[in-house]
Amino acid sequence: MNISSSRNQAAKRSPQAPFWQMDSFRFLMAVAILIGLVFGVNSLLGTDAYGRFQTFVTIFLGIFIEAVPFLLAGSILSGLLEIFVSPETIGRIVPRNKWAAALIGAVMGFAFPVCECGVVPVTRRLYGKGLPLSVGVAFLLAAPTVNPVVFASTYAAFGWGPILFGRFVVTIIIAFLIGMVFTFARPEDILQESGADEPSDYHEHNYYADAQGLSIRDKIWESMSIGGNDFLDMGRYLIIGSMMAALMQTFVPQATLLALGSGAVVSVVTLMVLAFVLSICSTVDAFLALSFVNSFTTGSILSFLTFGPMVDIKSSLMFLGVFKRKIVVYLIVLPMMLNGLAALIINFYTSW
Amino acid sequence: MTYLNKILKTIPILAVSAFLYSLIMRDMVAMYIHPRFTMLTLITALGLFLVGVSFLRPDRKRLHEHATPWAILLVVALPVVLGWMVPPRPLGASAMENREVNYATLSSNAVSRATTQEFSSGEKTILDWLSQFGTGPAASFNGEEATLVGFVYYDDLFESDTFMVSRFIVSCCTADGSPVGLIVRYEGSDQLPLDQWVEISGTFEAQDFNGTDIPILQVTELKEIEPPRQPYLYP
Repeated sequence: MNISSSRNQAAKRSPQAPFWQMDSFRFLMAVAILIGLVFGVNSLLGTDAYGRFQTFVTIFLGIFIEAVPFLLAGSILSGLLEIFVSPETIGRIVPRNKWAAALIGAVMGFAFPVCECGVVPVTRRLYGKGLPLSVGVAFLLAAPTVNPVVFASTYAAFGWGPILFGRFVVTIIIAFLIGMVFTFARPEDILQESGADEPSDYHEHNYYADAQGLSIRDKIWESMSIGGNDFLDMGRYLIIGSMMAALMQTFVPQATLLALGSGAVVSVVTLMVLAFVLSICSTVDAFLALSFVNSFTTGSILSFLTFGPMVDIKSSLMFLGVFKRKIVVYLIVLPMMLNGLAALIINFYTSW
Repeated sequence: MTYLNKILKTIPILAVSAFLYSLIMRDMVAMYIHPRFTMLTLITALGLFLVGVSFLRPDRKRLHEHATPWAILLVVALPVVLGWMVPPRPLGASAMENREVNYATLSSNAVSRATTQEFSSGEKTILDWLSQFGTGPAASFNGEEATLVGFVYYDDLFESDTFMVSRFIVSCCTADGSPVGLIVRYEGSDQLPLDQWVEISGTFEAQDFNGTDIPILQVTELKEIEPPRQPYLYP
């Protein structure tokens, strides 16, 4: 588990890049251009561009304000983990057996109840502590669904039944499988190096060792500070992701999308696209899925509830803070294929 | 790390904290999220404030850190800038153009969810009426009186004496908002601007709308109002 030493070198050779070379800046430009383009076209067509813009802002701030508490909680939890948990502890807790380890990762959400915004900083921190890749990937994909809060909300919406159990079983299986894919990968091929774009290169520093000998109060302050760095670091992905989701929400005609329909295959594709685009928090998506019950197949509703929490616009952007770009693509495509497959199996081979 | 960098990192964090706090103070949280999250928002504002303070504390261990790029700080400050610069407006007519609208009845599941609520506040909302309409034929509601608050929506399908009094349902945040509405008859509907908030009263009567009989409110009184503090309905 020598992630930290490989990161050391990465961090040392990275002087501060000029700002126009930074990912965040490019993102910002891209969003600005996109907004400009969309409104340019819109005003040419003569629709109410400013009203649309206000709608965009209202939805963007809605997602952001809703997600900020959970991102902050995840970041502070990450800071506490850094200061209070030694890498050896992680090594002791994770089972040696690879299968068991990935399975633990998939159900760890019951112990660390974090949603899709909080899970990313926590996973990244655990990787810094030497958590095996497979466990982290399984945790990252499963935790937003496999936790007590989502269990309660899904039960409230659907009651005991195939949706409730299907949601948890399918999520755990898929997270476990994708986790296993990463068993043999090397961390340096997978994980984002701390480059110039990263404000907090805690990787090169073992804060746990540094913080020994501090009073509890100082340790907690240090945790807050480390959590704050995580918050800034992840916050940019959350913000840009929410903006893109809000843009989609403002301009993609949902009515047309939903009218596409009820076929066994089309319905699955439709609701998976919708889950990706909407970027709704996993704790409430069950209530939204309720409104699809009459017009969509069971498999497609299940895929909405399993795929959405794993991958959506804002979470896949946040993945960029943890994984290399190529890996983020895998982490979008693999869940998409497996969730789609699970939904099709349910549609064709069960009578739910 | 220089003290300037610490201050640079602190600014967006404190700005977001202050923004959340000011939303609560201005009673505007409900414009963006379900009001049950107000307390959570307050705690977050406090937590961000503490994080900001923790950046400014003198380093005991001299923990080495790199500077935070400006672009990141700009991105994190973006919600605050947009939130303060763009005059807030609740989801309305322009958000409805790309969404499916429920105007006749709600789907059965949504009904069972909605009817578990008590009509404690006295006035039935659009949502309450819609879920009731699912329980019987349109004509069975003839003569029932209602007073409703919502915004005006119509499109090309609507005749000049008809509009839809609409609200958005929000179960978590504005991203999951879905519109509902009741069709109403009112002479001079076409004089009302889209998005105008109104309080209307009248009685229901089953009439044809786009080929189906649905209960349509015959408006006897219409008052133009400011958008309410809680613009959405919460299931």
